[in-house]
Amino acid sequence: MRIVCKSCGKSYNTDKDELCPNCGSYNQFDRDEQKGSSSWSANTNTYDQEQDNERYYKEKYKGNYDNDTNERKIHFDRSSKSRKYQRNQNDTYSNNEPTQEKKGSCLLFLIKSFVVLLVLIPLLSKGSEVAVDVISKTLSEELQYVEEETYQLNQPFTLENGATFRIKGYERIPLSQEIIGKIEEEKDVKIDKMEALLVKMDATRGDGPKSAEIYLRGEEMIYMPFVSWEIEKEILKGKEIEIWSKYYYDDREYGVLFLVPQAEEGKPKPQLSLCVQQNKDLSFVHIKRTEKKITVNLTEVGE
Amino acid sequence: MRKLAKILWVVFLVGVCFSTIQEEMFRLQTKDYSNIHLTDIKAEQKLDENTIKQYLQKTTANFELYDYYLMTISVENSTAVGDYFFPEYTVSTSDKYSCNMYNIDTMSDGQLTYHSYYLPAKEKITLKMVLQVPKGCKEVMSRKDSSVKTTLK
Repeated sequence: MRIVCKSCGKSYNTDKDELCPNCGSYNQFDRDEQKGSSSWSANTNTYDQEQDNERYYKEKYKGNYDNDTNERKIHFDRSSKSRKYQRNQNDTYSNNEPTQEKKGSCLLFLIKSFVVLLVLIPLLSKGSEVAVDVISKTLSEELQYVEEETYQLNQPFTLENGATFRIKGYERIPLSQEIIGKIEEEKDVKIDKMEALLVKMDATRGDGPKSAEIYLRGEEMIYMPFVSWEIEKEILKGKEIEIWSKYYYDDREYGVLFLVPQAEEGKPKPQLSLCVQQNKDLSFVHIKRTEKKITVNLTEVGE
Repeated sequence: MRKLAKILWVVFLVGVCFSTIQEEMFRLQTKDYSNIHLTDIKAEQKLDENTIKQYLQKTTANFELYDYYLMTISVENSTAVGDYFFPEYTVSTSDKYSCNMYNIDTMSDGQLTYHSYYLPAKEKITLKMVLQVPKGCKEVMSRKDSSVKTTLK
């Protein structure tokens, strides 16, 4: 549909461009007529209003309006203006009635919090309880097993941390009344018919985190190493042997000292075994798990 | 203000979650993973005022209220975790009265201690002890396993 621009008088086709290609003015035209007729007559009644509108848009959207008469851009700006307007309107509304919205929001927050407390916490509690039950059950099953090996005297063996041992045998050392008195005083026990037993061995130090533990197995009793620096010195007087410690040892001959019942004359000597355990710390449950146990049946040195 | 409330709420939630998990972790850590139990219990002899003296010197016996027996008990650690065995309250009567087990004062086969014995992984020991039971008690059993029991004669 062809129309004449009321601003500059240029005739142009609204099918191609709704704004005047010469001056960029917007001229009202009948869109229904545009479909049916090619002629146009300006609506003189609304002319002034149209001019005002045009001026308003020119000022408001100067950059966009002057430029290529891009109506889409103008529409976009109008819509943003409208959104902005709506937002402003909402703000105005909210400013007018602030307490209602705040009350609603606060209530929603409380409901959400309540739901979280009622649902999330019990769920988390139950979930972690089940997880802990599964872990402790698996761990308990795992802790039923110990690898056991037996070695002969003078047969060397190595632990996983690289520490090597070669057990040579034992030597019985009678205790004097003076030493017995000292032990009774220090340990607050009454000792009757006991003697010291020194297990001799060669040992080298390992580097790994797994530790070794040594004890003596009698026929019906477990004997732990006797630890008392002063009494050890008294018992081992005149013997060139160093007491083994799980914390530090060089590559040399060591001894481990135990207190055991005296061997009775005329009776067969009780069977004694030295056990070396390889332990691993399970720090997250604060326990020391025995992975491997090596047993060496002992005889007296020189037998 | 709302932001602060939200931050406090999140901090509170994280704290609650953390303490819940921490509580369960504590349960995992404090669980007893070793299993030290009696495998056999036997009454050797009833002790009177004269015979008890050779076993108990430090402990005062009260024969008006209690009977005393010399017992042999076998204890086993069936797990891969070494632990201590405390003999005092390991047996009870059929009426669930607790009985006291006394270590024999003279240490001829012990580990130089009156209170506990160390049992390494998968080991078994046999101990001699003095049992104190309420007068007239005829049977004692293990607290953990009532099938391990003995008649007192």
